[in-house]
Parts: sequence; C-alpha cells; structure tokens
Amino acid sequence: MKPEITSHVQVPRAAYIRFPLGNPIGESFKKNDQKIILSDLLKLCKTIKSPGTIFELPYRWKRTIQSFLE
Amino acid sequence: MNINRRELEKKIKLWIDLEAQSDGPFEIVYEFINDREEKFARWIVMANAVHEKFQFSMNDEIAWHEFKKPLNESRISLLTTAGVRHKSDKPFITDCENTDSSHRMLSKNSSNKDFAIDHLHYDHRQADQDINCVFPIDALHVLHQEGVIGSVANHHFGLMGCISNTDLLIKKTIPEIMNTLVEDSVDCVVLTPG
Repeated sequence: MKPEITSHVQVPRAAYIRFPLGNPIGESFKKNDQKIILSDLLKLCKTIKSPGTIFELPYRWKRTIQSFLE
Repeated sequence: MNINRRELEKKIKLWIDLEAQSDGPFEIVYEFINDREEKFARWIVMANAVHEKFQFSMNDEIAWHEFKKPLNESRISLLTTAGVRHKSDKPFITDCENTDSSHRMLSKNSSNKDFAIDHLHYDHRQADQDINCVFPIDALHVLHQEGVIGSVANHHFGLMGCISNTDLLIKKTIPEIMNTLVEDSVDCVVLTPG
C-alpha cells in the first residue's frame, strides 16, 4: 500500500506498513508475525474513529515484531 | 481528509503539463505542498505515461461505518488485490491495457499448494512459497481458534491490482462481491495489496 495514493482514494480506514511490495503481512512462513499484523489490522478497525485515517504500523522489515496493541 | 474532486483533477492536469514542459521530470518542486503530494503527482504522471487507458478513481466521499460489533463475535473475510487465485481457476490477464476486473473466489480451506499468483508489478517470490504474505488465511484461522475473532467467512476474494480502467470493477465485480458478503453475514473485510 502506498499512503500517498490511498490518501487520495478516500477509503474509510487503512494501515501502512514499511515492508517491501509483495509482503504486506510480513515475511514468508513467519506465522507469529503474520498473526500479529493481521490481529493489529482487525483491532485498528475498532480503534480508528476518524474517517480517512491512515495508521502507520511501527514495524520494520526483518526486525522482531511485538504487537503494540496488546 | 477532505478532497475536492475538481481541485484534484485540475492538479493532475497541471502535474502532467509540468512534466510535459520540463526537461527533467518534476524539477518545478514549488508546486507541491508536501512530500506525499509530490509522490502522488509523480505516480499519476507515471501511470498516465505507461498505461494508455489509465484513469484515477476516487470515492466521492468516505463510506464510513463505525465497527461496533465486538471483534470476538465478528465474521471476517479477506480480499486481496495481489492477483491470487486457486491453481484450478482461470488465470488473470496480466496485461494492464486489457484490464482484468474479474474476481476469483478463494476457499477458506485451501493450503499454500492450492494457490497461484498472476501479477507482474511486484516481487511475489516469497508469496509464491507462502500465500499468507499477501493473503493471510492461516493467520485468520489461528485468530479464530484463539477467540480473537468470531468466525472465518466461507468466501474470500482474489483480484488483480493493475486495474487501469475501473468501470467494470465498480459496476459488476464489486456488487457481486458485496452480495456474497451479505449472504455470508460478513461483518468486516480486510483488504490486502500486492
């Protein structure tokens, strides 16, 4: 997802993660990381209250992922 | 964000004109108020140059519905624009000039070896090995088993990402998907790109 494009589409809510194209949910076979990212996306559906919000997830490629929404 | 469609269309025309007049692309940077706007302008000019039928589609307004139902009672579906399909499905057309606006239904009970990806605009070597990189169906099942979500929808959706003409997408494909979601009593859909 490219936030500069998504912000012009007028979506209800979106999340941006600084991962390479092709890996929006993380690295292959890193099941726990993928679960955390999907879980965060679903929780953001509840916590984002302002229409059009693009939330940047704080995770970085190839680094340890611990949910910040626990 | 409040976007005025007419203002945006005027800006897009200005950006394309600037690029056409400039020796190098986008050397007149004072036209942009921030980095995100300039990135968007560069993308619009690039897309117009590369794809003859390109048109930028935006919603007239934000379709906002507050998600009030508890997550652990909610039924969740996934939709990816990463060009994902079952191997047994008809392949997507990958030529952006012959836009493929169709969708493929993705079963919730499929495993990695059942999926294929048709897309030429991103590196899907990891997703070819593990579809969850773009279509996190295994993670969705785990969240259900752990009680984070209420249930996994019966149907999920694969679409192409390079849809330069969105007419058929808006008039045919999206209504079909919406009908399936309503019939399946889905509360929330997570969209993932390639």
